[in-house]
Amino acid sequence: MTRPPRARLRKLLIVLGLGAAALSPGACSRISATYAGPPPQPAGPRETYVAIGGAETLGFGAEDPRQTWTQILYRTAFPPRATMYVLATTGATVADALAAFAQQALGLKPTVVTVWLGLSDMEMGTPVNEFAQDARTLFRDLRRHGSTTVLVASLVTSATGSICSGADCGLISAYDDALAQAASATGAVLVNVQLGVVAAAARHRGVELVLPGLNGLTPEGQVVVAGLFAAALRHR
Amino acid sequence: MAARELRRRPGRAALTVLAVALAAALLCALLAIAETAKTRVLSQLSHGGSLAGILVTPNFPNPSQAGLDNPQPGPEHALTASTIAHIQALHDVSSVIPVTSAPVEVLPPPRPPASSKLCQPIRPHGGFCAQQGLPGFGRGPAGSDVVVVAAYPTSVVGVDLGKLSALPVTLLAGRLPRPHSSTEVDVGQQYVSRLGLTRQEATEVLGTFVELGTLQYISSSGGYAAERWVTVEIVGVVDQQAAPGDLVAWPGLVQAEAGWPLQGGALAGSTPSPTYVGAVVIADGLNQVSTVRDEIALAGYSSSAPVGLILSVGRYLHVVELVLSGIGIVALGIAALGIANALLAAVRERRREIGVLKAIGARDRDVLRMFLVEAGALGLVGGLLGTVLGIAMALAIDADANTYLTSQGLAGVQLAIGWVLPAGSVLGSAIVALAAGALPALRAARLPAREAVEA
Repeated sequence: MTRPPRARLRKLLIVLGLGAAALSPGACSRISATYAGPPPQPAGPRETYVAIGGAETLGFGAEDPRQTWTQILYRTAFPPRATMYVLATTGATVADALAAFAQQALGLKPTVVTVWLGLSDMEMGTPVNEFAQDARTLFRDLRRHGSTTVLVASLVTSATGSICSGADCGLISAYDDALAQAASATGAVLVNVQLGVVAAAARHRGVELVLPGLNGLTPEGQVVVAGLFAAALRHR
Repeated sequence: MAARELRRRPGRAALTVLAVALAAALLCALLAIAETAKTRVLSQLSHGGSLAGILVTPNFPNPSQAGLDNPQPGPEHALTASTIAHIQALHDVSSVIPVTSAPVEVLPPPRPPASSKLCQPIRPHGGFCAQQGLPGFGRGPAGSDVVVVAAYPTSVVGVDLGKLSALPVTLLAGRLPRPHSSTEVDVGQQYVSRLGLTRQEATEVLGTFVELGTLQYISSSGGYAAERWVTVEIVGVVDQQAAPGDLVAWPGLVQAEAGWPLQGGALAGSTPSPTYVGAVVIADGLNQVSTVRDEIALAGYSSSAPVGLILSVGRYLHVVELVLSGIGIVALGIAALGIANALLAAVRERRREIGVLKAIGARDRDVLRMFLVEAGALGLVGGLLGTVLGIAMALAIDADANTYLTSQGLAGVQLAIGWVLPAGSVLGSAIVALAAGALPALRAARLPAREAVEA
């Protein structure tokens, strides 16, 4: 006696159904055990940023290492694979930087260098022509024949209001002019920090940007300065 | 003929197959789970590394602690590349994986509370939040509950992550850094805790960027400190016992952190080349661990290995395995009784048929073969179905256990099913069925033809 085809088909379907039901939990658990592959590696050369300077570059006035303007600039203006070096010491002059930092910086083959010096030179009475000569040599060396972007900060001599007052005006202008000329002669970019700080102070009345005695920047001031350097970098 | 008989009484055949299948499924699932649990427990004891792994520390051995699994080490004794080469050359040593380390300052990204819209990332995918709100830098309003974790000093541990199975490192979430990557790290539970996250929330750190800073004191021109900062992406969370430190990376990253090139550097507070903070030595087997440890002690280094604990726990786990196997075997025994019962009933019902077969010339062994084939077929089909069902059960339990474990921030379990267990289960079921069918088959074979026909 032979079975009708419909009964045979029904039997086949039942067997297939049972098989699928028995195998399904295994299939699900296998999916959960797999990991997604690694994301693609970002392309392009790695950026190396070197910050050269004195107390301001060390971040005096910041309450946390993250609040220093160099850190903020590094985080906001550079890609994640960038490396940052901070070569700075309190009271550093341009001559100090030329002697101690320039060769170190060149060894790191930086793509971007920020230089914030000059106030200590002014305080220590470095002759302006000597200052100008050292600044030109420093910027030229750092430029590495144009392969490095060098951003130079102007002097910050006042927390708010006027840029200078009284007898200091002439001296400050002389140092600032020396920086500007050295930057212009070597292809470095001058970042007018003083003007930027004054403008920000005017916009945010009541917010302290510079520490009393010009010994550093408040956390808010660090953000402003980082913003000024970031803007200059965008236009390089 | 056996197949025709099975088709003639499908209900009885199906029930018998079901009994065998359930027993085989139970045995198969219990053994798979027991083996997986054993592997997991032993792996936990060796912190995810090799069972024959020995952790060598840069210390002299402490004679008063000799023979202990985890001795208090003696005074410091620097591990060098030549020492590692010497250990590698020891008899019974399969491989040596050096562990390096570099001190770093860690700047975790400020962490916004879950689902907070107050903190806008200022670097795409970076997880960094804006500082105090000023135009152009995003806005973190005053009084917002953004968690800013203080910078802290720790170490980044460098190991050859390609040999993960031999290392006391367990991946809990995410993935390992890409081979030889200098921009990716895994973090330990300590880092997760520092961010105020629970073990269950550990995955929140994946994909965020952390800054690592190192300091060098430069002696030239009066001396100054130089800082180096790199940003690395957190791609995984691990539980690691290789060396103290919150971050784990490939050795290249550690080397870059420890020995960045500055002229006149590395005079104080810095490390010019990677420091070996330990080595993971893999012995040829558990039995060789003690010998290798003695030789390492002779070379002047302290070592630890949980071999005593592993052997002791292994014995208890073996007892558990025996008990679980016993339960499965009892089930299989009951199924065998079912087969015997079904075949005895079949013999009684088919006495006349057996008599006719014998009358037309069938020999005893033909009848015996017919019933044995029937029993074997029942066992084979039941074993096959049961094995599939058992593995499915084990996988379902494994998936459930993994969901629970990962929700608790623990490493998941990989089910250990080779080919031996399924093959053994199917063959075992067939053999048990044949044994159960032997008595009814013999009885059928020995029936005198006349008596059978007259029944």
